[in-house]
Amino acid sequence: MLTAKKISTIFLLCLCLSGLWSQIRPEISIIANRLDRVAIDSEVKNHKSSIFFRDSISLSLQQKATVTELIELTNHVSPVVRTNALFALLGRPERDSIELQMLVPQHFSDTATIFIEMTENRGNHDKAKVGELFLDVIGRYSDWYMLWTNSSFKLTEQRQLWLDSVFFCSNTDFNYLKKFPSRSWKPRPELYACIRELLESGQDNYASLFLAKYQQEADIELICGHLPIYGNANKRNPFIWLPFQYFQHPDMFSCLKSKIEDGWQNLDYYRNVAKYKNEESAELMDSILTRIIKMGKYKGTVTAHFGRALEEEFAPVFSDIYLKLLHIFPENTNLKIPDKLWETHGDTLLQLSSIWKNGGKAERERATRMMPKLLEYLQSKDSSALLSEIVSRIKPLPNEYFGYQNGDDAATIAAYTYIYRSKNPYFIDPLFHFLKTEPLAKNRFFIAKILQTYGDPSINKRLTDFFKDHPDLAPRLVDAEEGGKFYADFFYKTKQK
Amino acid sequence: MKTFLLIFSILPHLLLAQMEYRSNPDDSTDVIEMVIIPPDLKADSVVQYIYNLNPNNSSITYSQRFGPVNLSNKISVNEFYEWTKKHCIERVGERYFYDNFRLNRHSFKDDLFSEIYEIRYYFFPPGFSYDYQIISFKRFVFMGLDETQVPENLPDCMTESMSCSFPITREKALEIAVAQVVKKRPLKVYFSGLTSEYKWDCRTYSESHWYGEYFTIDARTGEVSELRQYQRID
Repeated sequence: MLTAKKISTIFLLCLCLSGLWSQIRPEISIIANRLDRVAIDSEVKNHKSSIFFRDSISLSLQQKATVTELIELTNHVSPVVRTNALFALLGRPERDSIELQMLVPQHFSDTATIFIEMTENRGNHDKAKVGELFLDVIGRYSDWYMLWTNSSFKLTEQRQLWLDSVFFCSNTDFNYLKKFPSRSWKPRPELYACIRELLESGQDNYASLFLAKYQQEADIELICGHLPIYGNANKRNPFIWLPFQYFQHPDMFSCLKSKIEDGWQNLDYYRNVAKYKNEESAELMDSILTRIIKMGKYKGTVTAHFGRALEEEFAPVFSDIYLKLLHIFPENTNLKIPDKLWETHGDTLLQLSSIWKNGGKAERERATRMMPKLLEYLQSKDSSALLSEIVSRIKPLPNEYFGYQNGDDAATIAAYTYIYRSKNPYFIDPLFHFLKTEPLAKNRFFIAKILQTYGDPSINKRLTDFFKDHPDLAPRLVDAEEGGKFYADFFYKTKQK
Repeated sequence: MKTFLLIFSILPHLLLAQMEYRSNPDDSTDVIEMVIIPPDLKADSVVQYIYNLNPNNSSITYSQRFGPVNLSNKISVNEFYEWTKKHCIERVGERYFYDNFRLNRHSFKDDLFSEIYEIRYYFFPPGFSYDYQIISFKRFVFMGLDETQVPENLPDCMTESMSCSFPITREKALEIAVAQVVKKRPLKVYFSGLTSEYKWDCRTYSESHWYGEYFTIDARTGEVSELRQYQRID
């Protein structure tokens, strides 16, 4: 296994042997010693962003020092100089030809803290660690956005692979940064041994993220015993459960099951359990639900997370648990109904919908959100119930088609969509009745447009007569402008589906 | 054969074609296409005439250029167009109308969703090379209802001759802004265009674009409105 120390020694040795090692010129040393801050900003030129210094001494260093001098300054005793040298290299026109990745391993243990001043409106970074900066700026190992994230600098694929292999196989002071790249990392056979060795050594539990990606049965015990961050950190941390996301196996499930004490309040734990979609995972989910029911504080969030995981990974095997969840927590508006539940328990959901329709606020909200699926279900089962359900939903429209829609608005739109598509004569009289009662003229215009789409001359005549007999209810040009915009959005959206 | 006949029928108009290209004084790459109103053409011929003026304009479809002109199946667009022209001429005078009012390919619009037919003129006050006011006539015809809306921003030169005089051009407005608003402070001036009340919509901004003031300058009188400070908070 290559350690950071070995790598840096090799690199420095290479520099010496190739004759690149040079003394820093006195004038450059003077500039470096005058540096007392790191102040940067970014700008866009020719569609490319770049970092630039806001400090004149830093700028002078960048312009006057050679690349070799700047590389040497990345090992300066002062963290301010090391960081300035890093950003100076990033701003050099020849940066793509410099082997910048070779600088990173020397800073695997560089925990000196640095204060980075950004622009007045971007705030500062007051807790940056130098080693973390080298990893982030050159290797892009974090997922938080900083000015340098937008520097348009990216290592070539080959250089990135090299740096990945060194970083992932080394124990560093910044192991936590490994969790971000692990998501997209593809296992490479040549790294298997060093990653396994690192995990076995007990120095770096983050190595389990990478080892899990090899999906080897023989490694399960090792992975299970060395989960990342496990034991001393916040149990809500999603990264603990990443190895289970990367590797599904009956023995991994057993491991997951054994961690229930630590995971039963964690969304990612639920997700990983539900992924198995079998009897055993249903049993485990059921036992989690029993624990949640007994919970006091934070029950709402945990229930929503539990429902979300079940909904995402829904399978018929979870039907009973989901129905139980809906029964027990009727007040939780975050719980949605998985589409597949309609396939197996449509009648039960229909009954629940009619109960919820007359229930509390949250229940009514849930009932209206069920509307589109409920219509689909009724369409295949009972047409008379469907028609009366639609008529019960003929209501004033939301203000904007693409604006925020609450459950009631969504149900109203779903009802009008059904009328528009089916053009069932059953709806004509209720729509004419609505024309008499709706106070907003823009809505009356919309309804008249819906009636017009029936394409029936007798309906058009009835509309003409209606507006003649009720001139106070006739929409005006301004109402048509507003209602027409809504109708246009409705028309295009309905056509798309 | 049909296409040939169509081209042949509009050929005299093409020969009379007069298109104007007006460029933004702040950005010469921003150019708008306008058409001088042909006095003797009916609406359907005008539309064909506009669509065929610039063969290089790819946003005009083949069917628009060569297909049948279906202006509206509810109203006589020819009559409505004549009526709008007459209305404008009554307010501003014939010479003023043909000198300063323009059309373009968005001037005739039949909106099937709102059931409103719109005829839109682009009014460039005398001396204004790029800035214009949209003078829009609308007609709503639906299920026995028929309502016409005339533009509120059409000046009436016949009853008030000063209302058609706009001496404060963009250049003059800039001079006024510099003298009366900027007053040697390190600020620049940006013009958004003309408001419907014929006022220049302006703002000053600092070099960092973080603060400044909103204000208007009356294009008829040059009067500067009260300044409204702004400060970005993002």
